[in-house]
This record gives sequence, structure tokens and C-alpha cells, in this order.
Amino acid sequence: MTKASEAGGFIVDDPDYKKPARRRRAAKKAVSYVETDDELPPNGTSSSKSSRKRKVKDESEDEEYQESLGTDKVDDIKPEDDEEEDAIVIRGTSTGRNRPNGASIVNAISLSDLSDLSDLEQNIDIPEELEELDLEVVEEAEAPRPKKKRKTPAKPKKPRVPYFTRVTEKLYNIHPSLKDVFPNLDQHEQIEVKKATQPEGMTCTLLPFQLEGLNWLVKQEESEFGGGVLADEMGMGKTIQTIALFMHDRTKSPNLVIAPTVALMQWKSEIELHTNGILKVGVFHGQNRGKSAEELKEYDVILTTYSVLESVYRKQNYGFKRKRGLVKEPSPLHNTHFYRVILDEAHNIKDRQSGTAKAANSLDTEKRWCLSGTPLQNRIGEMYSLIRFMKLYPFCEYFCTKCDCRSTEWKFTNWKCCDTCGHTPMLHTNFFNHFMLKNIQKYGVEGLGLESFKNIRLLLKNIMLRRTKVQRADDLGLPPRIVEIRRDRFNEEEKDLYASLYSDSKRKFNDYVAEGVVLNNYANIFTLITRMRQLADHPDLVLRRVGTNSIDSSGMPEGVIVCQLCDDEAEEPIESKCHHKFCRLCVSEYVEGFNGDPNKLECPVCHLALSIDLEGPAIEVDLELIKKGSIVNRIRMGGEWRSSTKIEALVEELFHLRSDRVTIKSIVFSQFTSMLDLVEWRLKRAGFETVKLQGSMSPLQRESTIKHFMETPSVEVFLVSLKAGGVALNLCEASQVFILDPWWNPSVEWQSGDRVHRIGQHRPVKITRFCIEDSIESRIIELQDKKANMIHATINQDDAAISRLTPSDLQFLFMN
Amino acid sequence: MSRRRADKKENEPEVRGPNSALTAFLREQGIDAGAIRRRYEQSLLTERNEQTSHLHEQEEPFQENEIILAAIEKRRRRRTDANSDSGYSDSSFSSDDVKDSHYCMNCDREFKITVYSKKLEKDGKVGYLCTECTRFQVDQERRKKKTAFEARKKRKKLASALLNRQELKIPSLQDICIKLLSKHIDDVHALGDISVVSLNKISRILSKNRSLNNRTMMLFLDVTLKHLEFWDCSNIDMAYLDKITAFCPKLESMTLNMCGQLHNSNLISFAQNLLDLNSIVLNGPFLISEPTWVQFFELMNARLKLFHVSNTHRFSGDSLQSLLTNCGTSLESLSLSRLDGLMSKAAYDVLPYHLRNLKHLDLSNPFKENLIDDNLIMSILSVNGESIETLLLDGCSGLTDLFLVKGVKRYCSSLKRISLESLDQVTDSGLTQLFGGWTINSGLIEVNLKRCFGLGDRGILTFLNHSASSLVSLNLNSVYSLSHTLFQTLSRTLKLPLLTALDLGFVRSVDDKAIAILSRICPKLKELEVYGNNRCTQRARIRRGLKVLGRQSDSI
Repeated sequence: MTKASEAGGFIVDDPDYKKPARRRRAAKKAVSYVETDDELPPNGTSSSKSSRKRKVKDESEDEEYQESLGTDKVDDIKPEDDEEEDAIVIRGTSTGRNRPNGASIVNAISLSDLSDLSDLEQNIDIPEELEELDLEVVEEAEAPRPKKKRKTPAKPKKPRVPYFTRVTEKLYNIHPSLKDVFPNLDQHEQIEVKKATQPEGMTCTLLPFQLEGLNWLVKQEESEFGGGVLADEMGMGKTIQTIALFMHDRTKSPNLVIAPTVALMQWKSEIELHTNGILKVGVFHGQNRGKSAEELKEYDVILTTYSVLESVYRKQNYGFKRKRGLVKEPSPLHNTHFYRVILDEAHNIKDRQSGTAKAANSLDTEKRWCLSGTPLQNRIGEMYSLIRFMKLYPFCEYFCTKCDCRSTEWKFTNWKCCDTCGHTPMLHTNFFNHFMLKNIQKYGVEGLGLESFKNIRLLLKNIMLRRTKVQRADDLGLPPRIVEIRRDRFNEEEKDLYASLYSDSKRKFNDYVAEGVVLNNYANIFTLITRMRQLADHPDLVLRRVGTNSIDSSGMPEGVIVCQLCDDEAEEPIESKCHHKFCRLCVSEYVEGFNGDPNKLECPVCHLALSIDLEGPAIEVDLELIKKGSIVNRIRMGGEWRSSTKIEALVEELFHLRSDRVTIKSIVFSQFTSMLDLVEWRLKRAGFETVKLQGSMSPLQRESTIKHFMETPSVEVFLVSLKAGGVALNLCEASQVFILDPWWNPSVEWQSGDRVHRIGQHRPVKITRFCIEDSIESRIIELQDKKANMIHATINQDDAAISRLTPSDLQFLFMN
Repeated sequence: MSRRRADKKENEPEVRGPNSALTAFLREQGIDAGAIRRRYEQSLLTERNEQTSHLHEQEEPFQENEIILAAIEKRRRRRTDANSDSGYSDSSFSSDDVKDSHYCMNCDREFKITVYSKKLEKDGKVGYLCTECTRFQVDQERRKKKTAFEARKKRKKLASALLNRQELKIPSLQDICIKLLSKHIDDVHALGDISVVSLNKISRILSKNRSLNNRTMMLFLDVTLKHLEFWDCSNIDMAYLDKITAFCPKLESMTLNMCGQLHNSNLISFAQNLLDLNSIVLNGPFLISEPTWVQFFELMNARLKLFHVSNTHRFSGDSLQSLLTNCGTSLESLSLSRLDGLMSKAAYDVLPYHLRNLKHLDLSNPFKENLIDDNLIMSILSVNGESIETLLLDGCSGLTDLFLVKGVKRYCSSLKRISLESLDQVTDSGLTQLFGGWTINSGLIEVNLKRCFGLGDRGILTFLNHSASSLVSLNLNSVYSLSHTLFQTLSRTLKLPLLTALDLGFVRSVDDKAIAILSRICPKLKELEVYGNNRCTQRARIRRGLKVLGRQSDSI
């Protein structure tokens, strides 16, 4: 039955019929119940019911209305009315951005607090969560949804077997092998903890627990699982253990390592360093990467990034547009048979519907490994993607409750019935969702939820190895880590400015509260909060934002090109090939002053080989460029610029670290790249040597920048944006960390501390967090503490509530 | 100036035909054939005007114009003629150009204009310069640019020198030698007979360059050596740290900073083999385990006079107990800073029972603020009060006014240095009570009151009245409530004859005037820190020899 005929069958004269699907409520009011009752097609019930599960987003309202009515008894209309209302509200949340009691829908639990409470890694990135909310609901729609909404106290119910038990029984009847899955898992022999021998050819001596890890890796690979998750805490040498695995049996190749872009070059250099170049390493990245699978076979280890993986997969399967139309290109990665595939920072595929996850799943390999310091960032559902990647049967499979059909894919090409058995989607259930996920989401860690939770732990015990730094402190020999908060106060001028912004924001917030639309304006409120946080960093971040550069009274656009050697307005600016701008004189002098191999002359900013036309025409100030470019180009030169309390506090701290007998290097983190630009400029002018890592840099640039910092004693400060450098960076030459702006969630800050607090660090580590006392930052820190306490106080607490900002939290931020 | 504005570009039509390099060059120089001709015609006109003005004064302008037009017409005809009969002859041109002579804007000499002639605007007139004047002008501009460039570079050098607390001056020959030596340290096989002072200097520079490693450290080991200091040992491994005992048996004092590679066996071997060792300073020995500490103290016993340890989490209550029972009575100087392993109050509470004649006590930055309280400090002071000279209690924020008034004031007659950083419970009245009539103490030398938010003008004034004559170093960073009045009162009543270092960072009332006052009343003041005080500007009047650190205007 087609959608049109179905709809046309009973509401021909509905004026709202042609309106977009978003207006469900309006449509509902237009329909009269009596009419529907009469004209309801008798056979519309089952198919429309199933269709709802799949196409929540793009259904027309009347169809949806019909099916939900169709699933219920026709004679009980009045209470059903309320029911219907509820159902629609819930579905509305999936598409809209508002979510009243959002927790009840998503109700996610981070497994990490249960498996290891001490290192809970949840992420309170609000925008991201909003995105994930959509996915979550889609996911629910796919899997058979428990009929939660039918349970109204108003409706008298006959006692019945719960949905979960019914499905379990059906599954066990039809797929008897499933009964033994968990008992077998429980019986499964644990790999005994033993030290492996140091692999031949490794230049560094492995630490005791790393040898244990190697033993586990080798044994686990031989076991039925053919891989697993190495989830050692950050800085414990997951990379080294993996390299040891490569070296353990060198005949087993090729290996594919998929890593984030930041870590790519680090992998390469570590492999070369620790194996003395025995392993042939190929980097599959960048414009001139190889096109054929043949080239890849020459290497022992091939390194690539998630984005490349996704891109070659997309080009192979979906093609790309060229002048001549759609072109498809075979992917060298997907046409090579690997022995082993390793996903570094595996939570990159946490969204199983993403192209990256699909691309990773379709790699041809025998053994599969995931490396991650934070295997679960937000919710248990993320684990599923890893399970799918590792092809763990039957955990990643869909089962039919009517027949013995099972498959790893959700194969419903016509959206109506299964391609293999012909049964409806409703009758199919996912093993992981059913036995491990749903009950936890529904009940938390109690009753049935607890059972599911035990199931998860059982599985993880068999596939995951996790050691924490605290457990292995003696082996690691790590220095103590001191965390301090430095509190400062605004000066008078800043206080005035802040007060005006604050009262403005507060009024807006109170308006929202008064209208009861706080949750509808999440994004707006977030912008307000961000402005206040930026103001606490430096007023220019708010006043001279990108795109809002004003033209001053003389009609001249403000802005200059700043020379990156003398950090002043550039005289006759010329540009190098790597797009850095210098005064002609400065850079000429720099080039002349370099006495060494002219091939080793490097750009003073990004430390790649320098290529610049010294005689080339001077570039002109371009208004567009200024608008888009660094904030430093937009500030007032010529002594008018004023620093902020926070920047000065940083300068003071760095100044006090200076001494004539020891060099202490520091890393400075901020979330705002403009803030980093300002800080860099200020520090350089004050005589510090700095380097900066930005998200926009190429892997080669990153590598040479990091190298420059690690190898030059006089470079004291490394500026990193929290997002770009939060993970997979090894900077143990530095021993101090400064975090300029507090983040909502302490774990992100812990991670940034881990950049220096890792193996190889011999100096005492100190982390200083800056906070302006009379601004919103002090409240953010209070909020952090509150949440941390909550996490520690209640073990079985559903931490979904902890991991996001509730309306009361928002209220707290705006409280006086 | 190179600040070519974008809006200029906007006014020009965007699309142009192909250009030759010469055209582009001429346009850039502002030379334009049409303009030259126009200018020539203009000059012709004025010339004519001048010649004819007194002859035909009554003649009508239109007639005049006619004459000019006729002249132009005639010239054009002649030019075409010349071109047609003799191919391309320059004669007509040159004869024209001779006529087209200019008067230099500078020296009023007549000259021939060329493409190199400099255009100049002066007194509202636009004209060109003669060849020599042009050369002079270009030279001058180049020089100007160069000096501006030099000034920029110098400013940067100055900023980094300020950061190193140095002055930009010519270094001594010795310093140059040492610098050169440390640069090529990898090629040095023995340092030979160098004075201890120079050795220390080299060692410091090596530490700063992070080149103190297994090889270079050997250069400093010597049989006669009594004092050893390595400021960054993170690149020296276990085996080489052991060589210290072998090469320097007479060592008495040892300072190992950042000794993250110091192993248990090293420490034990120090205690066993260095029989004269009586003072040891360790920063960051986090590999040393608890039993090793106990064993070390048992071996050292009454020998140990000075023991400083910081930045380790493995120094526990048991280790401290062992230190006190074995070495407690002989200890003169004790520093326990940032020891996260000392987590029980009981561990600290035994301190007063063992320490007898302490001169230096440092209990800064305990794991929790409640570990150190007023009673503990008071009972330590009641025993050691007479001898104690240095008391460092940074970050012990559990302390209140009580220990100052009932402890420090009552017992500490010879106290010279006190550091109370971040003690937010110490109040203005507490400080006033301490220093008001503190007769047994003749004055403090070094005082650190950084981040004591509770303090105000009155307390600081009482304190300065008490110690003004002896004070050398003072830190009042982030004491927010200090006001203008304090500096005014100081200016009129006090002089601080010995004060050399003063930190007033983030005290917002410090402005140009306050700096001027301090510069006057503290004749020895060398370093004044004013970070975060945005009202301190370049305009402040400062005595020569006083370095003001942290002024934004110095580097922006």
C-alpha cells in the first residue's frame, strides 16, 4: 500500500494534509475521531505500525496519527487521546531542539563510572549532545521500542508478561544457541597475567605492565575474539605495546593503523624510534598518497587517519562528482587484505552510523584492535560501535523473533520487511540492545538493568584490558601531579564592562525563565554564557569578534598586517609559501642570519622548510583578510592596546618560572583560538619564545612544531587549543600546564594535564587553572565541584544527569 | 608607508587588460604619459602667461588660449614631420624635454626630470626633486627605516632582558668565555682548573640549556669537591648518579633539583659512602619509596643537619617519623614542601617533640589545609623560637591570626624571613597586633605576604614601621585592599633604606604616582613588579637603576 493511497483513504478533505510534517499537532486537531474510526482500513494496522519505527522524521502527520491509533483498540478512544498527545510530544523532541525531561528519553549511563569510578570520562559538550539526541532517538526507532508510553495509570491493565521477558523467550526458542552466550562467556577462560618476553628488535625496554599487556594482546589475538580493546589510561604506552605486538611476530603483516591526524606523525616517529627501522612504515595521507592497493602491500605498517579512511570509502561506494558526472574510485585500503587493523583513539567511531564507522567496519582484516584511553565517553551505546567493528558475534547481530534469521546488517531495503525472512522490523531485535543496553536505559542499574549491566561487564572482562595509572604507579614512576586554581579579580575597567554584559545577559535569561522557555533557548543562553566567559579572558574577544569589525570614524577599516617576526605592524609585508607574513626587512635578516645548511632553513612560525620570495611584491591590507584573520590583526597597535587581568596573570606566572639555572617549559590551553592568538602576541612581545598548535595545521606542520618545542631549550611556551591538542600529544619536555578558561567538565581538563603527566616525565608536574573570581568562571568551577562530588557520592547514580547542564544549573550560573 | 588601504583598490575598476611590466612599474611610481603632457602644457601656458602678461594685459583669455592651442598644434605637426622623414629621431623629443625642465622643490635648481625623480609634496605644492636631492632623500628614508627597524629589534631584546632580570650591557670577558664553553660543552673533555664560582656558573647554564646529562655532569665531579649542586637532573640516569659517590667522597652538601631519576639505591649509596654529608636538598625525588626513606634516615642518623624535600607523594607519615626519631635533635634546617604523602595530622603533630634548635622551617603547601593549625606552629615555636630565623608557611591556609599573635610575637626573637603566602585567614588586625610593639625582634629582612587577602593599609603600615630599617625584600602581590592612602602616608613618613625587591602585582591602586613615590623613598630598590596594574604607564617617573617589571607599556 502506498503512502498516498493510505492517507487519501481517510482524510481527503484535510486542509492540513499538504503542510509539512512538523505540524503534527495542528493536523491532529483537524481530524475528527469519529471519521477516523469509520474509515480506518482494516489491514492498515501492522504495516503502518512498523513504518513508524523507521521513519519518524519524514512521515506525514496523518499517517502517523493513523498508525498509532491503529495499533490500539478502537473502542477506547477518550483516554487514548491523552496517550496520543504524549506520544507526539516525545517524538517532537527528536526533531526539535527542546527536550523537557530529556533524561527520560536518552537516559544514558556512562559505563565508566561503573567499571571504574575514579576515571569517569563524560563529556558535557552541549551542542554535541543535542546532535546525539537525534541519533539516539533514531536508534530507538530502529530497534523494537518497548511500549513504555502505553502504561498509563488511568487505563486498567490485565497482568501480563513484560515485553522484555517475552522477547527473550521468543529469542531463546528460535535461536537456542543464544541461551549459552552469557554462561559461556562466564566460563570462558581468562588470560592469565604473565609477562611476555621482550620482543627482539625493540630498542626500548618495556615496563613490567607493558610486558603483561603484550602477553594479553598476543593471547587475545589467538582467542576466538580475534582482537579486543586496549583501554589503558592515557600516557601508559598503548602505542608502545602495539608496536611490541607488531614486533612480536613480524611475519604477520600488513598492519593498518588508523589514528587521529594529530597522532599520525607521532606514530611514525615512535615506530621508527623503537624498532630501529626494522618495520617498513607507510603513511597513507595527504594529496599524493598512493592510488593502488599494490603499493600498500610493500609496507609492514600502514598509517592513515580517520578522515582519509572515510573519504576513500565514500569515493568507492558512493562516488564523487566530477565534470563528467559521478565517478567511483576503488579504495586502496578496502581492497587490501590486512592481517590486523588498529583503531587508535577508537572513540572516533563511537557514532556507528557515521561514515567513518562504516568505513572501518568494511575493512578486510583478520584481527581487529581498538585503542582508547576513554572507551566510553558518554554512554554505553557507544560501546556498540566498537563491538560491531570487532565483529563480535552474536553481540552485533540482529535476530528475528519469528524465525532463525540473523544478520549483522539492518537489511530492510523496502522499509517494510526483512530482506532475508520477510518479517517486519518490529520482530527483529538487536542482541546488544536487548540484553545489554535497553534495560539499563530504562531502569538504571537496578533489577533488570543490573542484570544487563552484569552482561556488559562480563563481555568487557573478556575483550578489554584496562589498567590505570594509580594501579601501576610503581611501575610507571610518575611524578606527583599538583592541581591549583589561581584566582584573580577584574580591574575596575573590566569590572564595569563585565557588569554591563552580565546584567544584560541576566535580564534575557530571566525573560526566558518568566516565559518558561529556557529549554527552547538553550543555544541562545549558551551564546550568552560564552560571551561572558570570553569577556573574562579578554574584552577584545567579544568586542572584536570575527566579522564585527567596525570601521572607525575616519572611514578607514581598522586592521593591519602583523609581522610574525617582530610582532609589530609589518613594513612592506611579504608572505611565505606557508602563508605567514613578515616584514621584508625582518625576514631578510632572518634568512641572512641563518648560517647552516640552507636546505634546513625553516619558517620561524611553523618550522617547515621556508620558501619565500624576498623580492616579491608587498601584499596589501585586505579587508576580507582582516575580518577573517587572526584577532591580532584587528587590535590597535601603537601602544593603545590594553591587556587583561588573565593575560597579565599568565605573564606573571611565566615570568616567575624563569630562572638563571633551570628551564621550565609550559603548555597553555584555551578553548578560544582568538585568546591564544592574543596570548601568543603578548608573550612574544614580552620576550618569550612560543610555539602554537592549531586545528588548521597539517600533520607535517604539527610534527615540526612539536619537535621544535621539544628540542629547543629556549622555547618555553606551547600554546594549544583545548580541542586541537587535548588528545594524543606527548609533550613531556614540559612540566607545567596552564588552563586559561575552565571547561564545564573536569575530565577534559584532566586529559589536558595528561599531555605532560605521562611516562618519561621526570620533573614535578603542576597544573594551574585560571579563574576570574568575580565572573561566571568561579561559578563554573563551583558547578564542576558540585558534579564531581555527586559522582563520588552516589555510585549508582545515572550520570546522564551529571553530564549535562540542567535548567537549575543554568539558574545557578545566573544567580546573584 | 606601506599601509596601502584596501578602499583605494575598491575605487579602481577591477578588470584590466594585459599589462607590461613597464606599465605596471610606471603606474606604481605614479608616472603617466597623459599627466606628463598635461603638465607640460600647463607649464607652457604659465610661461606664456608670464611673458605675455605685461605685454598684452588687456588681451582676452580666449585669445590666449587660441595661441596656446596653435602652439600645440604646431608642435604636433612638427613631431609627425620629424617622425615621417627621419624614421625615429630623438631630436624633437630632446628639444622638447629641454624645454620641459623643472625646478627642484628643495634647492630650486633647474633639472631634467627622469623616471627616478622623487615626487614631493611641500607647503601644498607638488613637485619633483633634482637628481642629487633625490639621492639624498632616498638615503635619508632608508636610514630612517633602518633605525626604526633597529628600534624594534632593540625593544624585543630589552623585553627579554627584562624577563631575565638582566640589563642590556656588555658582558664581561669571563661571562663570554663561560657562554662559549657551555655552548660547545659536548667537545669539552676536562674543565681543568676553573674556580668553583665559574664551575657553578657553567653548571647553571648547562641546566638551563637542558644539556646537563650523563656526559657533561662528569666534568663537575672532583675529589676535593665539598658542595655540589645540579639544578636539572632529569637527564642524568641512575648509573651516573651513583658516580657522584665514587668521584666526590668528601661531599658535605648536595642539591639535586628535579631528580626524577634518583632511585632508591642511589640514595642509600649516598648515605653509606658520603661520610661527611650533612645537608641534602632534593626536589622531586618521587621514585624514592617509603622504606628507603626510613633506611636513609637510619643511616644518616645524627649527621643530618639540613634536609629539604619537596614534590613527592611517597614521603609518608612513617618516613617523617623516622626522620624525626633518627635525626630530629640535630636538624637545623627542615623543609617539607608539597608532600602529598603526608596525609594525616598525627604525622605533623609529632614535629614539636623532636625538633630542638631549628633555624629554618618550611612547611609550605601541605596536602590539606587542616593538617597544619595554629597549635602546631605555636608549640614548634615555643621550643625553637629563639633559634628560628626562617619560617615559610606558604599555603597553610588553616592558620589564623592566633599563631602570629600568640606564637610568632611571643617567641621569635631572631626571626629574619617569614613567608605567609595565601593565608586568607590572617587579618589586618592580626598583623597590627603582631608588629605593634614587637620589641624582642629587631626587624625582618624578607617578608612574603602574597595573596593574603585579609590585609589592609593599617597592618602593612604597622609592619613597615617596625621593619623599615632592615627590610630587603617584600612581596605584597594581590593584596587587593591596599589603597592610595598607604603610598601617600609612606611618602610622607617613612624611608625604606635597604629595600631592593618589591612585588606589588595585582594591587590595583598602584599607579604612576605610587611608582614615583616608591622610587623616591626606597633608594636601593632595584626590582619593582607591577604585573596586572594597568595604570602603571611609561609616564611614571623612575629613578635610574630601578627596573619596573610587568608594565604593559614596556612591551606593547
